[in-house]
Amino acid sequence: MESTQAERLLSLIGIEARRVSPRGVTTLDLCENAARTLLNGLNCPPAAIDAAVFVTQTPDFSQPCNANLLHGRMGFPKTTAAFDVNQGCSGWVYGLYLASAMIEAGGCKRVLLLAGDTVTQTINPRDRSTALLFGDAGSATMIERTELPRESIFMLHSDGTGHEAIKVPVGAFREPFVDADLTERADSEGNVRRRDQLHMNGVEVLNFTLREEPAAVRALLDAAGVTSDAVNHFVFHQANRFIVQNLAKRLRLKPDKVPVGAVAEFGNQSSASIPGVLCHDLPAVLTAEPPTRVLASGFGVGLSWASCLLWLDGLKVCQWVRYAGSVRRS
Amino acid sequence: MKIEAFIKLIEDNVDGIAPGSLQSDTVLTSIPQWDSLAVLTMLAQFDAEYGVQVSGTEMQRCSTVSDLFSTVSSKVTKPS
Amino acid sequence: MASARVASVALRGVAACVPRTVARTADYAGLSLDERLKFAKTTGIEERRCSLPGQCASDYCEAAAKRLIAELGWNKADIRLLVCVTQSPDYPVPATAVLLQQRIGLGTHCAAFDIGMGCSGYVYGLLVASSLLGVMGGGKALLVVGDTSTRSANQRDRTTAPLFGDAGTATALEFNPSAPEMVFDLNSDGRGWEAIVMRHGGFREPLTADSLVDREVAPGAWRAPRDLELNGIEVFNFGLREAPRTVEALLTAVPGVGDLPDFFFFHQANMLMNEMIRKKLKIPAEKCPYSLRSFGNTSCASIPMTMVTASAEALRAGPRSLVLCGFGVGLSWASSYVRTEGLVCPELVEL
Repeated sequence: MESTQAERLLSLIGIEARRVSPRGVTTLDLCENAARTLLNGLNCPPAAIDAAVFVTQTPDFSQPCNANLLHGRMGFPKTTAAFDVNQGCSGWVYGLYLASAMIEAGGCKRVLLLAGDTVTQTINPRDRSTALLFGDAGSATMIERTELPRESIFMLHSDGTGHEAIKVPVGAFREPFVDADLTERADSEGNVRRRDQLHMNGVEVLNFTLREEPAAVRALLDAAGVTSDAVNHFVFHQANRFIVQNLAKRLRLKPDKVPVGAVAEFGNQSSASIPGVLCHDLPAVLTAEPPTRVLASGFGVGLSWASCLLWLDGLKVCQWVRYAGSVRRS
Repeated sequence: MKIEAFIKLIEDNVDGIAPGSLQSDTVLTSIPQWDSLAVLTMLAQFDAEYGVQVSGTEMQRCSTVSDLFSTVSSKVTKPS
Repeated sequence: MASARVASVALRGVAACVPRTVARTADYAGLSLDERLKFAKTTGIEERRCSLPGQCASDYCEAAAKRLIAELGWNKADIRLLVCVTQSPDYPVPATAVLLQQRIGLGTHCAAFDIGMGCSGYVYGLLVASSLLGVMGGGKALLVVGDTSTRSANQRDRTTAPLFGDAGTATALEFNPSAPEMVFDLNSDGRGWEAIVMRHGGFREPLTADSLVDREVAPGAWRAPRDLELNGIEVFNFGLREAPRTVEALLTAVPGVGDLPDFFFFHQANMLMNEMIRKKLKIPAEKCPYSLRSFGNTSCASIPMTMVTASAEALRAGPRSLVLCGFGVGLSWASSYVRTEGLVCPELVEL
């Protein structure tokens, strides 16, 4: 069989397994599960949550938003603000920045950040450029005001000229479902998909990542006035192992500082991928007492990329849980 | 609160209802002017006049003018 | 969440853009002639603007943003943040804000993301964008807010179709250490999620052929599962209960607010509800402008639409104190107290 560019990439992605949500389960369900696990582990009552920010590109409805639905399910008080952010791979870092800004503004002491997607539900199984890459996930992160000296630094970017690289053309308002041609079509490489399913140009995404990410990480380190030696862990969005290891090489990072366990076990989890690494690869070190310096960086759909340098110490909860009924595909 | 004042409130606020045409046993759906806009207008009036809110489900359970009167008056808190 | 205060960010300007196509209540086929008159009288809506197929809220937001940037004489490279509030995005993926980053011509150092909120979205977006600009510590931000709700409602649904109009707006924010504080009060109640909902078309109920089939859900009201559903009574009760409360909570939280603010801009739901809210708060009519008559309910864009179409001259003329209050889908509601200085407020743009 001819080896296409896509197939060569696939052999390098290093994805051994992916998690697929059962029929009828959405990102909302996955994030609710994560949120309950988190709040129970923290002994935090729903009433203590000042805001819920829900980052997703796979919401239950186009209205009302997932954050409001979660608000109802969790029984948050009326004074809890709730809104959705449409963002993908860079979404956890974007969401973290938003949550931090809302806390800085003084109105919030505690913000719950939900981030995740059920990307497998947007993909055609006969599209080899996407079918084996993605896993479903939901995450919940608690961000809280602290008096400790723990400055975080953020840098966010966007470039709409690359918007075709990762796209679902049909299903919103530019090309409504009702008017669209929804026949399955094969592209020039024999990948089959419909126009309301995820289109991804793997080569474009790879080129974008290698072009922008190293510069972005270096700029962040410069802004913080540190070198990569000062950072304990580099947590990259787990697009695939090839990309992450390539970034590590370009930035001359010690491989043991760059986890890739999450991508092997879960695949590309969109905005849940960075918390996936924290919970799967780093729970022992993050729940330990000494503060750890983590650089987290998400990049992808948009095109959009965002990086942050954080202090994480003594996390009381740092775990991943399996959603009942989800399927592990290898 | 007296039912006569309640009926007058409806007659005064819903266009086209002739004064004196409503009785306590009048079935709401038999009133030609009792459409969705009339319902909203009266919900606004119940809030303004009595400080009372009636939900959609409660509205559906009211068959007659007197049912509506009972629902509204039961929610009115006694003045101190 | 306690009241949030954002310091060092000034609201510098607002612009709005609507489609040219006008729909008149007097022509709406889903109501009888008498009903159309009564509807216009009760809701205050006589005309609305309707996007054509293929046009999106982002097109109107783009036009408004470009107009505003030009009038302000801004250097686009100074814009560090673009927040797009919409429930009518161009595509499910990627976010509309990133598309607009390119179309407006902003740099790649500009952060861009969407907030998926409706009627309360302008105030929510204002809090988020101003908080972010505050921590960025400098520069400028654009908050673009718009929806094409006419395409979410079924034209044969008399409970929704004649209410909505389409619009896109842009609001300019600038970091300025001497800017007066903005104060916010944000709320939610997810138990009321079914009051305003589009059931099919998301991931809970993906679209099937059945999602597009119209059913007569009430006499003269035809709707398919993917169309916008609005429970009029629930929404009415909710607005009447919560909008006055958030405004009162807000004004209590503002230090030294002696006289009543100059203007109250409420989400434009319908005249009946809005007037009840105004009267409950004892706000004089001249402080409570409307854009319902000519533009209908423009969803998240309704507050900036009213600022531009009803109050531009007054807002340009000098310092003003404003209360903004949005309430609706979610259920979600929010209010904000903002002081402005001679706003840049160009004429309404039409596409």
